[in-house]
Amino acid sequence: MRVLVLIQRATTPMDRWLMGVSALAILAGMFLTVSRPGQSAVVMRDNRPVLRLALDRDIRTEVEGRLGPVVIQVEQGRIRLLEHRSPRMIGTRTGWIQGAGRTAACVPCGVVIRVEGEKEVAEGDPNGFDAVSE
Amino acid sequence: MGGHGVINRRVVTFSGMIAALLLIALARGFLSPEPPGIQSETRLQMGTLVTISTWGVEKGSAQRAMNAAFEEMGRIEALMSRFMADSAIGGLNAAPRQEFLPLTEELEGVIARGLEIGRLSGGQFDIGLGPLSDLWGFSREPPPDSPPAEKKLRQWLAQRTSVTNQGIEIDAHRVRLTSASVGLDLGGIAKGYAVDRAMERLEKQGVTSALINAGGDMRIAGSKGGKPWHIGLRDPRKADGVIAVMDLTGPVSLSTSGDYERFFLVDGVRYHHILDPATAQPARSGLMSVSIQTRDSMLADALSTALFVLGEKRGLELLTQFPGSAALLIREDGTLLQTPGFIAKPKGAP
Amino acid sequence: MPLSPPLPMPRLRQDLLIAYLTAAAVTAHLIEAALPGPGPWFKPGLANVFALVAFLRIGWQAAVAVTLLRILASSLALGMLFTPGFFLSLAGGLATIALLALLHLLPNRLGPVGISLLAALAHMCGQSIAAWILLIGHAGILAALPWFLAGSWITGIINGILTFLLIEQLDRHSALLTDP
Repeated sequence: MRVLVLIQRATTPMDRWLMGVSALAILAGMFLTVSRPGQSAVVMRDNRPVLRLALDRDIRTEVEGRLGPVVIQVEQGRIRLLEHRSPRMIGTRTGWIQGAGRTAACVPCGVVIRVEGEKEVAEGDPNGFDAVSE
Repeated sequence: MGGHGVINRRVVTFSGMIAALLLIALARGFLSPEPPGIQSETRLQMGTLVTISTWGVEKGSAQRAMNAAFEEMGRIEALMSRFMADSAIGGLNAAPRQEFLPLTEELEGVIARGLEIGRLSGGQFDIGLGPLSDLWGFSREPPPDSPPAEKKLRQWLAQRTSVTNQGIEIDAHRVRLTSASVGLDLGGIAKGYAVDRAMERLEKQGVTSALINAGGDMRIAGSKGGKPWHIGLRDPRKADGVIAVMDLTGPVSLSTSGDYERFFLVDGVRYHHILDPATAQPARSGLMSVSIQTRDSMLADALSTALFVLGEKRGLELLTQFPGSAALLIREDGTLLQTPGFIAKPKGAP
Repeated sequence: MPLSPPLPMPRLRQDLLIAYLTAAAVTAHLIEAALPGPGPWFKPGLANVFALVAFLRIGWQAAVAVTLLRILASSLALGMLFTPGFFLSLAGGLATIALLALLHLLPNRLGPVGISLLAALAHMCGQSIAAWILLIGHAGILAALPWFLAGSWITGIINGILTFLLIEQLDRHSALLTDP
């Protein structure tokens, strides 16, 4: 109560108006940034997008690759692809990927997945390579 | 006083709006002079994953330039892939031996370059190994898990040793293959050529800072606003591991050939896809990987394969024929050999 | 009961008051720098109280003096002059000053709390823009800005009330308002 009295005493009507308006504006800003759509990944077959998956929901699905079905799995914000036919996973050494711009591919299957968004390489991250020569 | 208050209130509301507008303008002002960062796109092309990255180009023009570059690579693949029956190379390989067939100027240039490097390498770099590659079948799907029959390899070797001039003869914009053991396989050079042409297309579209990475073949133009491109070199025995770091500013090309790209193991023996025409076997020259830095990607591509097959001693001799080229060899014992001019530092070094 | 408008003050008194306020602001800045916490984002910003007192009782130029002197002296004392942290402080301070200068130009009915609130928000915006340009390099930080601003909203109001109380006390000491 005493605090309220103090606030009442210390503020002008314009102050109170400003407090309300700015609180509303900040809340609106919070709402806008929260409700931004989450990350998603696009699945491409022969360089054509065939599927778009949100990464905030776990799912297991299949796309038709050149050599048969390829399983696409989303789990805990990560995504990976698995081949049915190639037990040695020659085309999918990448494993789970997450983070904007990351890709995983099964080259012989013609299937590429890419996490959407601009690639962000953190400054000073020694592993933030622009490319790896292999 | 009351009227005064109303006026003030209006003034404050009005000025608040002005301030908000100013703030937005300020934020936009800060946004626009900031050069656009990396725009990149990955596509499947030439049997590998190709990534093009541009720097300092706004999204729309970057996309247009990258599309043009990918298109160019697609055109070259359609021309030079030996897996496409309707490609120029497919046609040449299917034609009867000894018969001269017309060549486009472009294809003639690539084949002549391949033959020249082949000559300088004493025949160890060979663009005519199509039939041997088919025997091993590393491009097959599913990939092989055992070597071909010994007999077939011996047959191929017997035929091959009687061949002169690498079995490929160019004459007045025509070419002929002289033996059934010879078939054009530009796998060691065409990818590099395609990368060169793709970079040319990017530059034609006004992109001056870019990186093209096509499997083992890379070409770099410019820098990221003064900061070099930060490239990792794959550790030959650790998937996802990096053994050295290269900070490169273009124009430069970088190509790596290693025994870990396509291989299978039988009884602990590693059979990989880089074949030695002298033995008809995967090259065993004491190296796990060879990286080349030089001006164009076609040369880097060919030299990395040639040095891998030749091994350390003869490989470095070949390298001296190409001024401006430098190499990093990783020996089978894991030690590194870096020739002067090769820009790299071990991972973790400051 | 709203504050009375400031009485005219002799030049020497103004300078003395600025010196006192600056000293107090530096002290507040140093104490806050010693507080544990995740960087410059979640500090109460008590030093601003003294700049606001200067603004309300002397004028906006006095607030400029207190703010800039405070940042300079504190950074010197902390040994972080021209470090990123210094530039973040400076950006926040400059944004605050710009806001006070703007408020000075307009006849308005804002009290200490309203001014302090606006100053805190301006400070955070300035700091965030500087961090975006100097440290982060991409606009991702702007997504977090509403959260930072929510913190500033609270500290801005608290500091405004403190400013109000401090000025109330100051105004009772009429010695400050007469020639020595």
